[in-house]
Amino acid sequence: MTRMRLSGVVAIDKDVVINAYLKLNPEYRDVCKDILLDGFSGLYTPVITNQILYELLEELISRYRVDEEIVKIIVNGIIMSEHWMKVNYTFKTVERAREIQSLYGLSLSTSLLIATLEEYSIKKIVSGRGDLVIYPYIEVVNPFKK
Amino acid sequence: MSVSRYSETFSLSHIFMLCNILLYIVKKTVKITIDEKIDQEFRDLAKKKYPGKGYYSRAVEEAIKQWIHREKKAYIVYRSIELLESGVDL
Repeated sequence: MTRMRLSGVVAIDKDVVINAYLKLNPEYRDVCKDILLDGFSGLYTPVITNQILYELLEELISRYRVDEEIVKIIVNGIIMSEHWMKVNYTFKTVERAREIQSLYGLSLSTSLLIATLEEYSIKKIVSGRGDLVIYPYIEVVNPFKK
Repeated sequence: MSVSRYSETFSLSHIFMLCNILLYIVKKTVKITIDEKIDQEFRDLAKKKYPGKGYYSRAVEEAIKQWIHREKKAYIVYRSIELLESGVDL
């Protein structure tokens, strides 16, 4: 798999962070690790939403049974990094997410992610979520695609 | 003027004096050597921000606190990147 070069403001989904840190698949890990390292170096502006941070934490602990101290390092590293942009959602975002959900038939999680990105005018995301591509106004870069 | 409840034993000036003693006990005197130009620039800015007595100590304390905060943050990010490089075994 080829190295991905990102520029500008790009949202990062939880599957990218998980595959970058955890030794699940060496091929995916290499690509995802480079994406994150470029972000930590400030080569582009990685964006993470509070929703994704929560889902990431939950998945690392509940699904992959990663030690809580390690989860803390992963999540706090992203939170504390000055290169990462952290965005939050509000009640208005949730309302818009429900609209997107009924219009496109997406899950609430994906709809909330789209609504948050829309609110901050973020037009690109690195993600392996299949349903994200249904929404036409956000460009999805899939690092797991061969 | 005195504090009515303790008027017989404590006046406000006594309380103020006690506070100063307490402050002296919990604070530490530090001797450092730094570049003269940096010191002058720092003093000028500190004087503007905290006019009056103790401006230098206040500004130095604030600068040290900020430095500690920044270094702690940088260390957390460093550990996270280190973990990213090495990977987490499952």
